[in-house]
Amino acid sequence: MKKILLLIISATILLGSCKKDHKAEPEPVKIKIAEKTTSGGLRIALWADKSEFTVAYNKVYVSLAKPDGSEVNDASLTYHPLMNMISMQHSSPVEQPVYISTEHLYGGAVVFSMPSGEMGSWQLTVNVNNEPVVFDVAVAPLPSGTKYTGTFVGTDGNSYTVSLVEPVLPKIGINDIDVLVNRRADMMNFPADEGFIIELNPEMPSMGHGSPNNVNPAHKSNGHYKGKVNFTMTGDWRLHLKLKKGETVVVEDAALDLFF
Amino acid sequence: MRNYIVVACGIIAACQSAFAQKTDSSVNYNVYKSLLLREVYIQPGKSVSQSNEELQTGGLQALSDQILERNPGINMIRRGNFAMEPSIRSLSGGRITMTIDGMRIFGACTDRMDPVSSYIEPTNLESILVSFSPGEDLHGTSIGGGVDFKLKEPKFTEGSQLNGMVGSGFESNGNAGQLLAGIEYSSADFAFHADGIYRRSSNYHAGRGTEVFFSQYQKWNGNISVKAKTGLNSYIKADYVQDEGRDIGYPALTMDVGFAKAKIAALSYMQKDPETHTMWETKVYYNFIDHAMDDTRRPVEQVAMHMDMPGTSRTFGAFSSISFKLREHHYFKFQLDGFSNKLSAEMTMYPENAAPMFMYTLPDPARTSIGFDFSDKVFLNSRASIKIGGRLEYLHDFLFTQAGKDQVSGLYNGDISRQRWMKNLSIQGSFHVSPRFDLSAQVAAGARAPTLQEEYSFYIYDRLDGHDYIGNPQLKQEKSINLDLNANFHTKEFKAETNVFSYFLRDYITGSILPGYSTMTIGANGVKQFINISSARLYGAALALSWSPFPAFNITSTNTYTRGTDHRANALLLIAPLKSVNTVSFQAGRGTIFHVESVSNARQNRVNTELYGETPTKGSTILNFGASRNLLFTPAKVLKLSGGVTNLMDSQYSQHLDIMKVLRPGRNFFVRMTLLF
Repeated sequence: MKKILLLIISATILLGSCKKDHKAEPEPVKIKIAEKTTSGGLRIALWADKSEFTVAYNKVYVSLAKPDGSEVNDASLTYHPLMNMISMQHSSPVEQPVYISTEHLYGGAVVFSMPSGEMGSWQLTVNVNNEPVVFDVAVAPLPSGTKYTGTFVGTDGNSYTVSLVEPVLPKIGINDIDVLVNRRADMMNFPADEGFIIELNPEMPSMGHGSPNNVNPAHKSNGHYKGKVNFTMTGDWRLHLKLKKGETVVVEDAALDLFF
Repeated sequence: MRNYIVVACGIIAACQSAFAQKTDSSVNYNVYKSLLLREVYIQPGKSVSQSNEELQTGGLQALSDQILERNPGINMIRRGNFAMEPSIRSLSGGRITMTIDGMRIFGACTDRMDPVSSYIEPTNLESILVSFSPGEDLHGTSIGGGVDFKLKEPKFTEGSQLNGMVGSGFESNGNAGQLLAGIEYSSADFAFHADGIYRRSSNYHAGRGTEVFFSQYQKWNGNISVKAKTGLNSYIKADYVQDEGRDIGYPALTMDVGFAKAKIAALSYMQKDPETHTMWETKVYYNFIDHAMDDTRRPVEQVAMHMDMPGTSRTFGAFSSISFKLREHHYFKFQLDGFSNKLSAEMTMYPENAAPMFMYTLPDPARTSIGFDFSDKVFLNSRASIKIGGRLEYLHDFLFTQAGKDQVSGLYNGDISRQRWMKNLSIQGSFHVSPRFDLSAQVAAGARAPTLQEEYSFYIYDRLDGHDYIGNPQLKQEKSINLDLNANFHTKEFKAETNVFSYFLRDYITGSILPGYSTMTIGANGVKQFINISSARLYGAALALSWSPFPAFNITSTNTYTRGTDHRANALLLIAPLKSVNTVSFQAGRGTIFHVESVSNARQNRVNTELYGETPTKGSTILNFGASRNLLFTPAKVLKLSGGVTNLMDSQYSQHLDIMKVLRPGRNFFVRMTLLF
């Protein structure tokens, strides 16, 4: 009988041995891009999630400190991105910063719509209490085969900038997707457009197949449309986004590409 | 137990043969051997009377698959010339169990390229035990019984003995060759056995000279078994089997196999008491299978995209089983067992000018099990006996990595682990109407859990119907009520055995088209998911006749038929048609045996192409001829020679269970020799 008992015990251990191990996500580390001092002596630093800005939706953070190092958390801040090209200037979609107390930073976002280089260079003007502080920022191109933001001319004659906010780190399986849509009012103003119905269709171009159980992004706030995307494997994925106003198709295929 | 009329029951039979400690366990087998075989003894015998049997099974040189295929109740699902998958009365896959000495072991390949039988060689085996019913001496719940491969068991002997064997074989078709050797040392309290085999084959030719490309294989297999007495009636035994296949072609599939490796280890403790007929076996075991598919040898135009598809299977388990004589004419056995199996299979595709694509085809599923098994046999009087067997099993299925869970988050919501209780029960009555005539009937309730593949497959391509399959964690267990009737008539010259069976299945698991899903495999026809359909039925019959007007001459005919329908009367998948094997054998002079055999399969028209992708298969008949002779140098030294030809007429044919109707081998001359010393 002892052996049977032993067997029961070992079998129980066997059953119980399926422990799950959770790995903690690494704390997001911000990287300082540039630093300047205002005429009032405030130290202003520009921060990003990655070491450089890219042609995509970029989170842009600002820290503001008095000369003695103490933090300023009640300043009025606005961002103004500007692309200086030889023949023209234009801005791009922007989300104005608000103070994030947990991070001790002001956080906003800029969609850089093209890389800096021979075509022109980007400036980001941060107005601190109405005083402009101009940063020259480099915007790196994305790896070939990826497209995180694009401008598409709609059937209504308007140009729309469609940008992928999430997923930042795509993984196999269900991912949250967040798409930002902005309409070009003029070369300097790109208000968020909240009136679309979006149909999402992911595809692997190298194989021609899609994936099941995606959830179409629906408008949440400020031009952000949120849904679910299912990546069944790693590799190249194209997100086909159909933008409709009511029953009218405005943009047939706003395609964004990513790979992981 | 229809086959061993005199021997009490399978368990007791095992005890008794072990108790007898024979050096040649073939003694009782000639007398009671039935035509509708249950147990096939593998080990080479020195007696002439066994030679015909060995000639037919192919001796140790044949693959385990080929030996299994000789069993009238078994058909093999063929995907190539190697690693065929057994189908018992047209039930296969998760509906039957395959174990090695009671150990659970699961293939690692997602395309069913590596059934357990492909990792075990006849040289490793004492016998192959086939069971047609759940709840009867099995090591897992099932619908249709199963196969247990009994590993070699070196014997304790009074004085010390050293025996050995060497053998080789050659087949003209495919230039196939086998080399094997074995050695056994035995003494009063220590015994040792080791064997090894190497086999290889090039592409074989189907009838009329058609070369079947990608039908090559090569493998080696080694087995060591050590036994030591720990007391008067107890011993420990350690077994280790390693089997490595390499460069194995699968003409029916789109990929071949780079390697298929198995490592199988077991440690057993056995205690016996001849007084009370008690036998207590406790075993702990582990096995690991490492499998890798390979498409690099295929012509570039056949490979839409290069991919790697490796898979692994790990099983750790233990069981303890005790059988004893409860009182006069009453035998009892029970067993407690448990195992944990972990599977993992993945696919990495390499498109041109784009990033590699990775995914799990089996997202790290695992199963743990605890089972309780009993069988109780009572002899009511000298003519009638009743046997009751049952099994209760608890199963827990889950995904053991976060990556696996993440991947299937796109398919399933919520908790996809499953826990379930399974029950098998069987009751069998046997009645000897007269010394020549006996009847038996069995009713069994079977149940089986969905396989981990059926629960968690992630776009696994099935070549048969051209669909990508998605698993379904919500599957209910499949259940069945089985009826089995046997009538046997034996005289000295004539034997007739009939067997009628039916399986009434509920919640039958099959694939069903999932609309709106895009395929993952390039060129696939669609996506299917495993579902339960309300019911299905399978029934059939077997008839075996044998006539021996004088001792040196024998005619045998075995005929089997199965038919399966689903709840809407559609024909089920992979149902073998009427099969008839007819053999004439005779012994000429001292120890030379000839046999001529025809193997016929009827046409199978009962298929459902729309639902299951199957197409009708033409009927076929082939003729085989063989001869064997034992040369006795000394009583202890025997040279066994055999030779012959299979598919004498060089027919071009395939059978219904051959996937993609890949042609079977054409004419094949073979020679085999084994020296026992």
